[in-house]
Amino acid sequence: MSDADELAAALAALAADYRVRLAARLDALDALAAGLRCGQTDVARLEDLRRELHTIAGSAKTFGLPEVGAAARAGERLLDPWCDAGKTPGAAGWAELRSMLAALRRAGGSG
Amino acid sequence: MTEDKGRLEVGSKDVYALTGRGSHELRESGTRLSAAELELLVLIDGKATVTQIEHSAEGQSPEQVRATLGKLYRSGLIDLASRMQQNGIEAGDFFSLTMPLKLPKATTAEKREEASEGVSSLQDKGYFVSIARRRAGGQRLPEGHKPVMLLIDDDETLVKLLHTVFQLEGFEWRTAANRAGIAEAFAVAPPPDLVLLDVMLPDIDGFEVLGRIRSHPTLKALPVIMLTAKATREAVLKGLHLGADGYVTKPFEIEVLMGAVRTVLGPTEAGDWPKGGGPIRND
Repeated sequence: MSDADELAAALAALAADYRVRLAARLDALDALAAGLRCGQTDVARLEDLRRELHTIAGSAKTFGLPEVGAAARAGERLLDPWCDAGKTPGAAGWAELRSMLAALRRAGGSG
Repeated sequence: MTEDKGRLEVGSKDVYALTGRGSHELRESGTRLSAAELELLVLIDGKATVTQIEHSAEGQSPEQVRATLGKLYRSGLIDLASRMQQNGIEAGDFFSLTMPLKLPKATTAEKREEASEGVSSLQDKGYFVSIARRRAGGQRLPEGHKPVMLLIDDDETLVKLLHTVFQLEGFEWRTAANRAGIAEAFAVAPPPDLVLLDVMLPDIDGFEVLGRIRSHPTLKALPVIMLTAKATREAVLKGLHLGADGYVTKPFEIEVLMGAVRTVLGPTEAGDWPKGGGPIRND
């Protein structure tokens, strides 16, 4: 097997692994958001949510999932002003957040 | 801007835009521009007025900014936005992934207005670059030396991917995902030949890591490429100011990252590369 073939095979395996792990990561995002919906002002949790979205935004396209990356980037941007201001969103913000997570699910093929 | 007998006069209200060549300098993993020139290109990316550039460029006097602008103009890396428009080139179109530049707080209302005018065509959708430059006087790797790469990133899947790629390219490999891991990785001999550095790490900021490397007595010349989803113009400028040799925004193409690595490391003393590769812009 040539280096190029070896690399292509390895990348395909990694992309498959990424898709498997993505499902768990989306579950973790939902869990984080669910915790936020309890009504507490939990900026640390919001920051965790942004951080995870940031990571997905930075890697999904590299693993062949550009729509997931774009949806995660949109989510990160949505959270930026709340995280930077150190406060949790209002009712309209929650609706946007839920909509964003649903869009991410759909992009990930599990919505 | 006026040109009189070869002398270039840069007007404060001139609006500049990057040419295609200028954009390539920021996105093709290989440039020979100085840090000051790169900074201005990043500031202009899209469109920007001279006033805006002067107020945003750190550590460069207005005179230096204008001299650098003249040099970039003569090199064909920037042009007057109005002239590009006359020639049917829409500077904003190609750069639809750029975002408005945040102005320093000290700028006056008038200057803010003027500057906003200059960037009005930019869209807030993200920013991407692949900047890589070889440090002046950087030492060549000895012939036959297996380069040691240190990847500082906490994304497991990405670490696996890059491990696979760089192993096939003939690199030795180390990783670190947090503050403790970074300290351990630097304690191992020999020191790395190159660091790929993420910004958003769990317990430390990648920019802080870069600052520590640059102020370390024995590590300060270590080549560092920022590899990060921190994709804003301000973040890129911060990385360049802190002394990064390259800045590659995520998501990235493998070949683009490889090109950046090759550019920053340069060829070995024998003029070759692991696996016979070479920088994208080899001369």
